[in-house]
Amino acid sequence: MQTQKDMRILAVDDEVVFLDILHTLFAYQGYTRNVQARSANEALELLRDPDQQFDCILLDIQMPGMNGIELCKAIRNMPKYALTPILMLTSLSEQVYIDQAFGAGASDYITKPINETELNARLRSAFNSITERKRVEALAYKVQTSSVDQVGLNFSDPISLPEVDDLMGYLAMQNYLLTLGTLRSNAWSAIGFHIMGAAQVFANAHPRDFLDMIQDVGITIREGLKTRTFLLSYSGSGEFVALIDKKTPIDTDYLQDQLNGLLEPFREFHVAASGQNVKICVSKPCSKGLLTFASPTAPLDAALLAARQNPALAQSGASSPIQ
Amino acid sequence: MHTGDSIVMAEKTDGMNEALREVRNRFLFDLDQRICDFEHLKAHIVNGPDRIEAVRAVAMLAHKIRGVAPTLGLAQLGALATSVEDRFSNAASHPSLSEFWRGAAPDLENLLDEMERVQPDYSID
Repeated sequence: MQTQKDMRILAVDDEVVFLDILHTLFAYQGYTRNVQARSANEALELLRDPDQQFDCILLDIQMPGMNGIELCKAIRNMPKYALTPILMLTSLSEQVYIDQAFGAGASDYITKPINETELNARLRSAFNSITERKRVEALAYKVQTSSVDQVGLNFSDPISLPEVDDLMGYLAMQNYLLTLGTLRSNAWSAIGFHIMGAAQVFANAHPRDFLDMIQDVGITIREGLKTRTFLLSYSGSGEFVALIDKKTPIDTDYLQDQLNGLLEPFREFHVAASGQNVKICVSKPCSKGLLTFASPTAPLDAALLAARQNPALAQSGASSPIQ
Repeated sequence: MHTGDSIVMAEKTDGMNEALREVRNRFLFDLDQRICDFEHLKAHIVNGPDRIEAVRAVAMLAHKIRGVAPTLGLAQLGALATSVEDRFSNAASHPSLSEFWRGAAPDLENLLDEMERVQPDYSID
């Protein structure tokens, strides 16, 4: 696949007129490699076919039988499509399902009735994420044998972490908040997690050990948040961000202690790999007041900044190399 | 029946409008079937074995029209379908189904009227 228009797209909708519209728009815009399915079962048959490969998947939400959210979850459980962009086709009346869709692994959404400009923009975003994923996959292969310089892995890369279950892409998390808009995004708080010592591990350790360390931290954060409803993403630069329900109080000082306790068993490996112990700094929950004009994604930036500025970072000697 | 509904497909190029015209024509040609489906469901809501299910089915049918009509230049049809979907989706919270139907039936009639209005006239002069 060389260009955006080369993407092989699977569109799933039980409304044949909508599929006709999509087909027409795709053909007009030069997307010639699109395939259609009128039900979840038909789609699964295509997706399970070893001779078929799709680069991007569009799913209607309300379908008879298995709905789009259930189908999205089923697709995400297929290793071949674990990271493929899945765009949900939603109307305004289906906004209530969007939380579930992103929870099931959706990457983005397209609003019905469909708009030519929006369709193109969303597909461009999907193509960019495919390109980025392929770059990261290539990196993941290279890190088995090469040094950081040879691999070209950047510290700031928001790499995917296959060992961390249900980890959301950072772009998908931003899309999700934008989907919710100003009012509904206010129901969430963002919590930032900054790994003290991550930059040193990146600089001194083998890339594979750096990725292992990031995955260890991701698994630890998941474990620490497991009693809550949350969405978690790795944003790059040794930082994670989680969205949690604002109505549920959370003691982030306690969470930070808990996470660092959970990380203790990994300490030996991290020190052996890089001479560096790592610790997790947790921000206070960040959210956006109803009356502010900030972007719905602003709490993500605020949480990450707060985690970076966590006083524990200055007080602790944990980020110093182990002598 | 109405024949020449002026088509303004906003935000689309002329070429795109032309490309969608065929889809629009097919949609309009098949509207009869959708009208029949609505009429069938109306009968079920009034006196059917599962009235709630019929109400849900009306919401679903309206949902499908809502999702395609505006793209095909049928904004008014889309708006009326939206109103029907929103109203019928919330029927379960209404204390009395009969009372709900008395209030909601005019919305459905408006939608059906619009569906008939936009249908092309296939009669031979």
